[in-house]
Amino acid sequence: MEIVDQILQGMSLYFTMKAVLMVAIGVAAGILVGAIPGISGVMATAILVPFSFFMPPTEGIPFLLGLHKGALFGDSIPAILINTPGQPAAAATALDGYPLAQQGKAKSAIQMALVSSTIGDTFSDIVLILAALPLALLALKFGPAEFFALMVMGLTIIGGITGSSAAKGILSALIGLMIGLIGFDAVTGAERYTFGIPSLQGGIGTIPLMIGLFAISEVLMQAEKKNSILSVRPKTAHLKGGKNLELKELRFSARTILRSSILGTIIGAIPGTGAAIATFIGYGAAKRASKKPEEFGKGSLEGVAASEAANSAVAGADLIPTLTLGIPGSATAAILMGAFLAQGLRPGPDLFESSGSTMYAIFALLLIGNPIMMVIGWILTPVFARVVTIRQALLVPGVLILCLMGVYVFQGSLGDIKLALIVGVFGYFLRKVDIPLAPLVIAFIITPIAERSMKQALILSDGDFSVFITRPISAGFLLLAVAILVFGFRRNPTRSQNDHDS
Amino acid sequence: MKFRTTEIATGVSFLIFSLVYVFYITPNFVTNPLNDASMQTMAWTLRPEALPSLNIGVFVVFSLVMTYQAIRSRNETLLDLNIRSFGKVIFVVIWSFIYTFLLPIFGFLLISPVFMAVLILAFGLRNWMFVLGVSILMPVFLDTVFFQTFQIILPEGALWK
Repeated sequence: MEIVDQILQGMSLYFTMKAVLMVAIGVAAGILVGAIPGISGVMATAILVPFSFFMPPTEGIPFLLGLHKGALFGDSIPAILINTPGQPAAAATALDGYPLAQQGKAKSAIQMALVSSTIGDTFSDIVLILAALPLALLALKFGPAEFFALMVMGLTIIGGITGSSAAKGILSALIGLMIGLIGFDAVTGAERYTFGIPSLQGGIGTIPLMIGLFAISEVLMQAEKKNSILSVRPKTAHLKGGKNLELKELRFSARTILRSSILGTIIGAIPGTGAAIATFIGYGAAKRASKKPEEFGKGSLEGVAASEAANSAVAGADLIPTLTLGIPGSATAAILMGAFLAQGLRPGPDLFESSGSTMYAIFALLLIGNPIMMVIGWILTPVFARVVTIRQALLVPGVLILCLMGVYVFQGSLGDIKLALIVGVFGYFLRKVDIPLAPLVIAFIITPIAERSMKQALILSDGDFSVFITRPISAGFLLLAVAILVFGFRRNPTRSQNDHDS
Repeated sequence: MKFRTTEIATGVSFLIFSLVYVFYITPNFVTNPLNDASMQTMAWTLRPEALPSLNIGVFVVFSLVMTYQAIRSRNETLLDLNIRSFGKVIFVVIWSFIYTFLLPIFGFLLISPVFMAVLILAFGLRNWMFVLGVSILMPVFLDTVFFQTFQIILPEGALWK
């Protein structure tokens, strides 16, 4: 009965015309910014998140959910039209989408991407809804020692699997932890690494960090390009006059979409694996099972469907660890978690107890967001697609000023802009040395929760560290973390060997 | 023997930073509000420097691992820096900092078009209609959106007050 009450309460609070409108605005904004060449879904989310802080939770949360969906699909537009995927996950879409565009089938390719994205996303949202409550109830049985060990395991997965080497991924997570430790210690009240700067007492702001790391560093990467590339209008395929996606084409790809949705959901639920892995596994599986494998890479609608369904299925699935355990499954989920925290929503096992009604409303909004994305994408894609024709010499400064003002409006502080610029330069160097950014931001977000759990466990054991290995579940998590680390390092020599061989 | 020089340089930088973190930053910038007697009775694992110390210990280990892997590897250097491109990046960073310092003096609506126009020109676009149009319209659009939608006033500039 309590659940029914919470669902009804959630519906009355969040399921309003205004909330649905905010989902639609979020979807449209996400597609529009995600469609800008060189801007990934993560970056689009980081740039637009500050807008949610000026909305009440009943509007801000729906906006964020719409944004999350729209930004993922938006990536496929430049991938198909100008062969410029915003992120590695969209690279598989470009493999078939761009040849299709060159054959004059850009419109049907984008529509296939849209339909597959919507189905993949809906599938993973349903799995999220079914899995969230049981998982949260299980996690509620954990004590602080188990919870800390779970966080260590989560970070190890994220660091060990993301990026080109396990060492770099783990180093990235450790840097995130280091940044997360700046400010007051929650247990003793000690001031740590503030260097006497009062604004650092509350820690490094989430928004300057996210925007600096993902958006400003990307702007700097774009600025590196030759002026002859930046100042020229990209050659793009046109949507005008192209034929619409036919039902038989969709029916032909139905099994592929379902397969990729399942694969994307399973892979996306594992923290740190991310959309890129899911997309390429989905694409590979589709090619193996296809009746026309020879068309893959040369302009196959099935190929576009495979990669986009898997890519979008990750969107719902990576919210499973985020909402139920408080461990963001990806960089985008980490940004969303930061935004949820700012909206007064604390993701984690007790979220169903503390904000049950909001949780059920989120689920409902996630589901309703999919048909909204379908409608907006279908009608407005020709308009959004025009953004890919804008010269980057105009877009990059525009994005930079949007980033800087996004940081400023968060607290009305010019200091935050300077901080974001410093973080941006740092992020640029990390990118240059191939250190992944996602583990850093995820570790940063979970540091306060992880430290609180660690200290609580240690207080209960009089400061004895063995508490983490004498409790079976905690020891199990830590053992699993070690196993994942070993796996992470084992995959590297193989990769290096392949590099040498090639 | 070819080294992955960038990774080695990064690993060495991380190790040097770790030394500074352990021997200078942590002793000087972790200030405990508890008195000495309380500190004496507190287990080390509960002290504010416990997690940072553990973290930096693991950081040193993985920095060494990365450096070792790089030395063992026969791959070419990873970093591909073109001086001209890198110069443009430095220019964007410095110009952004200058913009941040000028913002509270001249205000958003006055300094932002200048900021944008300089960047667009630096990126090689010479079509003055585009340069001026976008440089003026973008800040006006942002100011309107922030003010009309969220009632947020972007920096107005001390010069005009």
